[in-house]
Amino acid sequence: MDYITHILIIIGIYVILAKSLNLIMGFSGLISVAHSAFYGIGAYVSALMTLKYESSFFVTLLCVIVINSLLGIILIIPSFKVEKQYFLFITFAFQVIVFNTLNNWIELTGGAMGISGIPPLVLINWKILSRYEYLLLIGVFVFIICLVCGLIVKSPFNRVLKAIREDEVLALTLGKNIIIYKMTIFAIGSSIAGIAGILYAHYISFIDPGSFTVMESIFIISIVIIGGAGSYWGPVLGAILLVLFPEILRFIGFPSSIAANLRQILYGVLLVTFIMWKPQGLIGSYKFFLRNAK
Amino acid sequence: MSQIFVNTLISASFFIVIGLALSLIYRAVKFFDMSLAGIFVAGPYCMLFFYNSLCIPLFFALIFSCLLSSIIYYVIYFAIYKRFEHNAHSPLSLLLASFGIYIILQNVISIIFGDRIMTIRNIHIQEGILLGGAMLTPIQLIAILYSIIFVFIVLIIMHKTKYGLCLRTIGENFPLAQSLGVSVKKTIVITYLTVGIFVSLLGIIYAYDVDIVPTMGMNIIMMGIIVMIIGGNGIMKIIIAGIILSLAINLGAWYIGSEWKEVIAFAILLFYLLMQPRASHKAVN
Repeated sequence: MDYITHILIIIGIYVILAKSLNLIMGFSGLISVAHSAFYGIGAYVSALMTLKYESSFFVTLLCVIVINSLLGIILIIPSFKVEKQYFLFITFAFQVIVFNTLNNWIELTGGAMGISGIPPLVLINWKILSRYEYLLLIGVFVFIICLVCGLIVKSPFNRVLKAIREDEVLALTLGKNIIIYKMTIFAIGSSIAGIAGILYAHYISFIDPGSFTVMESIFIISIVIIGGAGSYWGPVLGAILLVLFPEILRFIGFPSSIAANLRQILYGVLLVTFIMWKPQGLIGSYKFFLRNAK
Repeated sequence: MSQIFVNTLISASFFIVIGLALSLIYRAVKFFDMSLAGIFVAGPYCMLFFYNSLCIPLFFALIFSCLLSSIIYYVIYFAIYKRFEHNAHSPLSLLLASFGIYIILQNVISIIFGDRIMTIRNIHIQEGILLGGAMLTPIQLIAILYSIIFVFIVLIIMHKTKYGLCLRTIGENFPLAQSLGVSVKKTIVITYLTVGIFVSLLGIIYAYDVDIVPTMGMNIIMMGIIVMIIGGNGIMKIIIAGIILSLAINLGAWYIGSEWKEVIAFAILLFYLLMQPRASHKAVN
């Protein structure tokens, strides 16, 4: 039962990550490979604040939202100057810089050894100790984030973003400030990724830079693409499938030495397959990768 | 200081070859092909198989390794990228698909050969050459000479051959090249096969210098992409960008530590793209 609870918690964390990336990819049409960096910043800021300053959950949450929002806004600025291919490399550069900083700034982050002994979350007087309590907490967060995303999808804000995604010049001629809209959605997406980082750090109680690599970003991108970029339920379905599918390999009985490699191959194959033959994902309608996507 | 200069030359030689190879591919297919990182790694592992496992003589093992890697690269184009042409996919989709292909290649190599660091050196370790107070190993000298030869070959191909003219035309204006009867398919196939051979050979030289691990390709390809973005499409500009990047990395490593090399390289890329009014147009035009 503990195993199932653990899998559900991991699915919950990836639903939050995929939902947040979907806001960026699905609504602005940009691909960011820096999502894992924002996830990592959330985890490290939370771990350090809790261990060094014993700060409360809500203070940590506020700090992570502010830091990630600011970094997200800074990162989106070059997208107004360069093409989408180049923006992907800008996010790649940000991802590498964050990863190397976490890995090399040993005095602060513990370097490759990471940070261990991260205490459980305390919400007012509720100390979350058991896996079931974590599952409940993550369930609440998934619900709130899905609600926020739902509100964004139904709002006029989303319609403007879709207009920007389809035709930036047209959106400009309609008098829409595309800079503000893109900055807002990137800040929201990055902040939500940071929240996933907080939940992950306190659940696992140990973090190291290896959990926040560019491959992790590609995995989150795969979830969004396979589920369906721009759709409401697509990232949820993608997260469930991509977290559960490798678990099947465990039961088939592949040696653990090659299981990780097989899992990566599976993600790679699915990514290429969906980009080629089903760019709208499993339940999406927006054909993300076509030149004249509808 | 002379050692920094020599180290700059060594790393610049790798960056320039990769930057030029990526530039050739970009001219042909208009996207940054990340799967080239897999070919860079496939070369040394083929060498490990032919030379160390099958004990084939060095010269033939080199030829077989480069040919096999090149064929793998062509198969990737034929089986995957070529199909994208019919579906009006954006370059972004090809770029992301190439990431996926790189992940597949890297992990297939990991399953076959293992994740640990391996060596293809079963020759006697030779003493380094002293060059103005700096040490240089024979294989590093070969890397520098190889990059010089590669640059000359690219210059000759691009400016003196019909294929080079076709590739330049495709790079400048793809639809116009097609309508003027330029053999687009043939040019792309030649580009993939040629780049596959040269990059896998570079991978083998790199492996003789620093040993091999399945994940070694991504870092060097990213350096090549930085060189290509900063240098644009001009061959001489790519060479200058390669030298500047290499110098910045080596000077940075000297002053703040070698563990920050990647951060320096990517900070340069970020700074460059932030400072450009429309940086993207450089590589396209």
